[in-house]
Amino acid sequence: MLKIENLHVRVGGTEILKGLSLELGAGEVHAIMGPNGSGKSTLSYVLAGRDGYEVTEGRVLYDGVDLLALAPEERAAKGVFLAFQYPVEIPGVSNVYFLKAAVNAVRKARGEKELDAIEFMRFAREKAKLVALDAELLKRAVNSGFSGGEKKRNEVFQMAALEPRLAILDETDSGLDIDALRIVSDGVNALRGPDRAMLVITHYQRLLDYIVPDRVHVLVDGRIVRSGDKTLAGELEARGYAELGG
Amino acid sequence: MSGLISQVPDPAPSAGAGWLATLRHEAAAYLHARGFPGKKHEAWRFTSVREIVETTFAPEPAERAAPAALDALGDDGTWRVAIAAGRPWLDGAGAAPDGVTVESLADALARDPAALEGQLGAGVAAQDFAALNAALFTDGLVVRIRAGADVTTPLHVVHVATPGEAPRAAYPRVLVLAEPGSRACVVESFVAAPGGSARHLTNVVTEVAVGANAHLEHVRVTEGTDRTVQLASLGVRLARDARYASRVVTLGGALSRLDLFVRFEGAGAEALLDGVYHVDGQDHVDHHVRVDHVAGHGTSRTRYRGLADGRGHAVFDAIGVVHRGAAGSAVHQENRNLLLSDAATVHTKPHLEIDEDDVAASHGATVGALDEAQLFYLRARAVPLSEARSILTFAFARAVLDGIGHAPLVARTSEALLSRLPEGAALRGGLSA
Repeated sequence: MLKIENLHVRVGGTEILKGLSLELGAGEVHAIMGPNGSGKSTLSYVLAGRDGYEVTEGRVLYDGVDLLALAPEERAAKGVFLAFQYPVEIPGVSNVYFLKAAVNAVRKARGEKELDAIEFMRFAREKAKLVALDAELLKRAVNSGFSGGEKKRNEVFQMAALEPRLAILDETDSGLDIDALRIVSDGVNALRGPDRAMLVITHYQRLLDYIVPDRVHVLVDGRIVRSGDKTLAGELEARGYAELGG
Repeated sequence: MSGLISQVPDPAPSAGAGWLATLRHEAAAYLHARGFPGKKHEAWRFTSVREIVETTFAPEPAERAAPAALDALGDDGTWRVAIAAGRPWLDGAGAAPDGVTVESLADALARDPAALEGQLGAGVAAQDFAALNAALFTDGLVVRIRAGADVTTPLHVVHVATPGEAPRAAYPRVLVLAEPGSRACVVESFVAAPGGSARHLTNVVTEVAVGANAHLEHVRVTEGTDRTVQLASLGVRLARDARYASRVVTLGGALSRLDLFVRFEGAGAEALLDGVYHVDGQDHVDHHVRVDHVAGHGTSRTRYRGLADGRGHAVFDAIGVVHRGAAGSAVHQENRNLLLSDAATVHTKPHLEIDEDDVAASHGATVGALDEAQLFYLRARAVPLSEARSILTFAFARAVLDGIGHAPLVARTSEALLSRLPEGAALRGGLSA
């Protein structure tokens, strides 16, 4: 489903990704682990289409299509979803309105009928249960005044509502206590399915106790230096990135 | 003689030496002596009125546009009276809510001129375009909210401009008297009837007196077009412990200029002066706000938000003056602008003049672009760029719109703003959720 070939990316003149290659099939969950500054967030942003990331070499194919040629909203409409490490606050836009605009944009792109306000509220309440998101939070402005855990749950809630083909979870575990981590992980696990692929980016092995990956990749200094099965995460925890990257 | 000044009668001393004749005479004399303001006047540096001043306007013919304009507004739960061609259309209004009397200004002046002495002309000094109105108004409205009345239905004055094939002008004058201890909401809407190809000038003066311990909300909505020119003055006088909440919504117009004057005459009064404006195309919108703290222990907070798109031009100028002796005053000013196009222009200048030590004061202005992180977040959720921009643009403005105390008016002003934004139609309806 996703094929990244020799990807080189510069940010503000500095090369961050230095020839990253990766293949992810439908139904698979891959984890990318790496230390700070290894290029984890750059990878997630470049896949989602954020401005300011210059691809100097390589390509990314998504279902055979050149993903990098698409605008962010086109990628999202085709089923690419990024759960943000730092979800953005948008004062003045209610969470429910934001999500309705998003869901209807995706439905429109798929040729499905847009949901009206009543249909949408029923749909949103159902999805909110998945991550035990307080219905009160639906009415509040997007992420405004949300706690760290609420913001992350809101991301998984959005993922549940948008039903992506490819989900990229950028440090969705960071800043979560163990209860919140469990809720978020349960939500993500419930969304695993044969047609959906997930790229779970994390700094800590802990998350992978809850979201068990099919493959683990170690990202150091812009390249994948090692790949293996889920036991690699434990090995990393024990030995550290320096030894593996060296 | 041609142009606007040719409409102003010669300032020969009039025979009747009443206060009104004196007011008119002085206004005309002022205009013939001083002329209209040009670019050299600080308050008009960024707003040219040359083209308007050189135009000879015909008075607007008596119009039958009022009923259609009221129908076009839909039911917003307000009690409505239209003013068209400078005259009120009271026949269509029905009985005013309890505690309120609404009368034609011409009738009120004919019936008991002394009753309005010291009111008419007290809120807005007869200079610049307020002098033009003082010299030329023939009618308008007197809205009186009786002492102690608690009026829940908003009182809505709808100014209807009907452009024609030649330039037309109207000079309405409105007086709002909120008597002590009363509570009410007054709405002024400025709308244009469809059709016509020439400029339409509305040169309006509204004077508001808020009595001791009275609460008045005043919503003022302008839906401008490329034919409408509005040169408006609004003067507010606050008595002891009065509360006044102003919500100004100015949506475009070939030229929409408002001079807002608020004067703290009694101690302990409060004025919340909120505004939002949007320019696009060739719109030119200009707000000048002057607050005078003459009595002490008053609080004024001026908060305007601007949206500038297309080749639009927005001007904001606020001055807060704390006079000697107005101890315990608090005066705050904030103007934030979103610049949505490279060709749009914003000039902003909030400033203070403080002649008293015991004062809390702040002022600030910003002009910035839409937040890139917010835009990306929306796009990463499949919302197309133009729609994402409009969602964020509207979100920026709604802090002011949501402050309006009457829900149908929040909805109406929201819809009016949305209808001016790209893809705005797609955003309508879902916002209340």
